[in-house]
Amino acid sequence: MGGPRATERCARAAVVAVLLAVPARRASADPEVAAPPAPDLVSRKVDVHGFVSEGGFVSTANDYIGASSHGSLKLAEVGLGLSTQVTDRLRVGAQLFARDFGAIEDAPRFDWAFLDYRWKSWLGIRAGIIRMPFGLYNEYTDVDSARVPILMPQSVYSFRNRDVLLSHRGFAVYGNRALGPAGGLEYQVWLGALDVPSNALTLPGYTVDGIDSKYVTGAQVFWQAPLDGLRLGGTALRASLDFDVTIPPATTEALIAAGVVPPDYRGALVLSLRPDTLVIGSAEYLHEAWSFAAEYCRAFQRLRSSLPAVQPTLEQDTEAFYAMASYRPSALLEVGSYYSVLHLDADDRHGRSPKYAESFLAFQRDLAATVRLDVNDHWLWKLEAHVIDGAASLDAATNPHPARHWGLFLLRTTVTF
Amino acid sequence: MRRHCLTLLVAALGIVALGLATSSSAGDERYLVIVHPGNPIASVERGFLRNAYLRKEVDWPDGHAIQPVDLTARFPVRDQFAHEVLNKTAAQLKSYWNQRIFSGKGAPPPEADGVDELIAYVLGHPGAVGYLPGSHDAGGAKVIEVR
Repeated sequence: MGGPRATERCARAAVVAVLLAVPARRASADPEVAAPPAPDLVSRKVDVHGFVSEGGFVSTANDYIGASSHGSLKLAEVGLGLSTQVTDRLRVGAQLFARDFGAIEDAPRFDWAFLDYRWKSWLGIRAGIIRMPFGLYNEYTDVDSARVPILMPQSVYSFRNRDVLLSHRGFAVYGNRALGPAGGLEYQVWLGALDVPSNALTLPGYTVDGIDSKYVTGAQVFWQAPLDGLRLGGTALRASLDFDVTIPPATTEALIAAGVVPPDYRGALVLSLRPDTLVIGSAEYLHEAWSFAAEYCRAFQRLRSSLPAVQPTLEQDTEAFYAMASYRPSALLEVGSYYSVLHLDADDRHGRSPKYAESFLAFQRDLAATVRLDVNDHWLWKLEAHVIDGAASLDAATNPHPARHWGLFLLRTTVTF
Repeated sequence: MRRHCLTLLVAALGIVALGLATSSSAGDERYLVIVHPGNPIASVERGFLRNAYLRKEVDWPDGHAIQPVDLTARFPVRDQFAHEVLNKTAAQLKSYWNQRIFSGKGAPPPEADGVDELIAYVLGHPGAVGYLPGSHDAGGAKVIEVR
């Protein structure tokens, strides 16, 4: 882990150094061009941007995003970024992000920090900490002002996975290619390592001592169809992760007593998530004040351990999909709704397997509706309601007796600058 | 699956009903697209212009970097241009740039708070492209056709 962390520190230091070295104001543009003098429309050489969100939520049953059944005001997110166009083709920037999101607290960390060199329209390269392209919205999941829902469809954009799939340290190549009457293509491929904080994942029954990302790689292609506003695409990514965990002392003692492990065994275990493969198909259509989106995702995961007697190999094929629509009747108001479905096992959508104590632990169906009010260009409010059937995404530790049918209500305000 | 379809249908009908109860339209002011007089092009594909303004296309055919410039939101022609060329409403365009800014992938074109200021910018930047209200004189900038 020392190597990647050192690389990350160097990348962050380089980005910050470049940002600090840039003068606060841009010099007059293109001095070689003769009269008339061109106005300096770009008043800041370094762009500063940020957002602050706060909100609350309550559920009719079950604890989701923290202690929701008692109501909670822990729905805070803060982001602050700097970026600058160093030359026509070179851009550099970084963004710090922190959140207190119910059950998850993230101290300030870099969401992204990268250099972006755009050689041609069809070829650019990014290097550093880069947001992970996945589906239509993973690169923008923190940008409350850029979407209608408070919670994006959780079957695909789970808040629990946010810190795992948020970004990677490495390289990305991207571009845009016009296809004449056939529209155009946008594409990107990437290779790097996941930057997973230790609090990003919980493994019931284990203490997570460390997470080692071997690699993450992927590709994304979107086709801008000749029909205005229509985008179709797909993303595939593959990752490999090792978790260094410790099993509970009582379990360790029992294993020693049973002769399964040697007497000097201290409970250390390595769990390998390899491969962790995700594929998603995406469609988006914008027409006038309407927006429509739908995505279908499959996740194939195999979890192996260094001690199969303690943790046998697990294989999982998860299915998730949603359809979403929104309409903006005025500059002030926007309304939206989605229906999102999660099946933990694509081959057992109704939870008939005996491994589920209740059948509804195998699925979660979420019908959501949101009203968004834009007070002005920088300040918005959202109110959202969810009617949920199933409990597949609930934390079993905090929901020992989950309810099948439940509701979730959220209120949030965001200031963007 | 039947249950999923029914739920989707109910949600979609609700939104459609709300949409039909209200109305939304962009303005109908015409626009001219202008470039630097030294730019050899005489016309441009609408898709190319859209990608130039969305910062997806970065070069003119002669290799010059494209430098798009916008008018501020107080000009109705801005919404018209966004609607007809970018195929986005003002809110969708704002959302698009928020996505780009907060993921580090780019920044919107600079904004001129006056037509004369926009023309001066275009005249001062060999790769610039801008748009004006259709009734306004191009002031020495080259007017190009949008195909």
